[in-house]
Amino acid sequence: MDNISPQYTTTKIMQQMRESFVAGDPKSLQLTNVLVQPFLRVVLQDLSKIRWQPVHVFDRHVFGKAALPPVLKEWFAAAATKKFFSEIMGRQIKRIDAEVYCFHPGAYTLMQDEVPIKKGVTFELDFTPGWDVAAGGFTSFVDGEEKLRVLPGMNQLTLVQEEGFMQHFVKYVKQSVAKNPRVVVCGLIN
Amino acid sequence: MKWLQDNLSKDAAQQYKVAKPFPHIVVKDFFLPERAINVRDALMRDSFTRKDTDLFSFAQSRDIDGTTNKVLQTFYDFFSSTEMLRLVESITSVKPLKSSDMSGFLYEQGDYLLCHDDQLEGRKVAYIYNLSDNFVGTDGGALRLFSLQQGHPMKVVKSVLPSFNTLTLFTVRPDSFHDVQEVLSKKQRWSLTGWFYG
Repeated sequence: MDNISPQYTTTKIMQQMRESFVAGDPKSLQLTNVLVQPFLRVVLQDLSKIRWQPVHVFDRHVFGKAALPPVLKEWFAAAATKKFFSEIMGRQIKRIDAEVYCFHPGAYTLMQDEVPIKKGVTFELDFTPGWDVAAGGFTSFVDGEEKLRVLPGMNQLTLVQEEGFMQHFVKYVKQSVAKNPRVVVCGLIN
Repeated sequence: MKWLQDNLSKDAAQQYKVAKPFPHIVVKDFFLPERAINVRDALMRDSFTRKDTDLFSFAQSRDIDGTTNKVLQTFYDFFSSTEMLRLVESITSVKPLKSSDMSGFLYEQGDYLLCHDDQLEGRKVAYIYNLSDNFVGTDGGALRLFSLQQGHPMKVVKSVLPSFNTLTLFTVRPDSFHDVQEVLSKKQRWSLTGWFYG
């Protein structure tokens, strides 16, 4: 399992992660310190060089967006990474689509009235140090009521099975509180 | 009981009609100052509940119609009176207006209302009656109006900073996108807000 912390790659832990993911309501799993430190340093260096493309569609979302830096693009495409996700989800996965987002102060996403029925696993790989929870910026997974809240963190992977009418949004990042942006790789596993 | 300051510009209807990005008007010193102070003081004594969703974060009072607060009820009775409905019709040219509703809002530091169009069945004209002490740009809390590109609000083209005893009216329609900018300072943004219905 290239560049994944060894604490998550033993057969026994893999089985525990799979059981934990399936048992969740919604099906979900969060891992901290997921990437090994040398690889994390390279990723953070690449993320720091990104030139964000501003996306301001105010009735839907406000954030900065970019394509994955090469080091992460390679990592997501690697057979070992797909095997890791397959082990957790208990099924063979075909592809992982991902982009990297910058939720700067003033950024947000909104839920939409018309929700397409989804079947897939959403993931968030967070690279945000020292987040103040009072700043907002968390991801809320909602199906009528909030089912799961993902707080920004560093080197943190969250997987959530989105089924039926579940939606998620990223809470407005308060300019009066946030000192730095939330940087997170988000995507869908098919 | 006299409420209005009677200082409405003669060309208010024309100003409203041509305002960009959608018809609106901002009228300062709308009510008699002593009445505005009484209403503000009554609102500040009312009870508020925190509301927090993907779209907003603020504190809201109960519906003012039916409140036990006599000053606010009297104000609402005037605001929903035939005299007020006809006045709003004359400014906005939206008619007939049949009723209105009203709630109190308190935005404190970090509170906001994100971009939306206000469209809901029956809503014809939105209003914000501001009762805050005057804000400056660094305080935030502005009502911001957006222009559209490809059917979506992409750009702020007008900002209205909270100002005491100021009434803002705008027509509710598919392009009436607006927000309330985050309050950035310790100032409190007090308002009575609602819609006129047709």
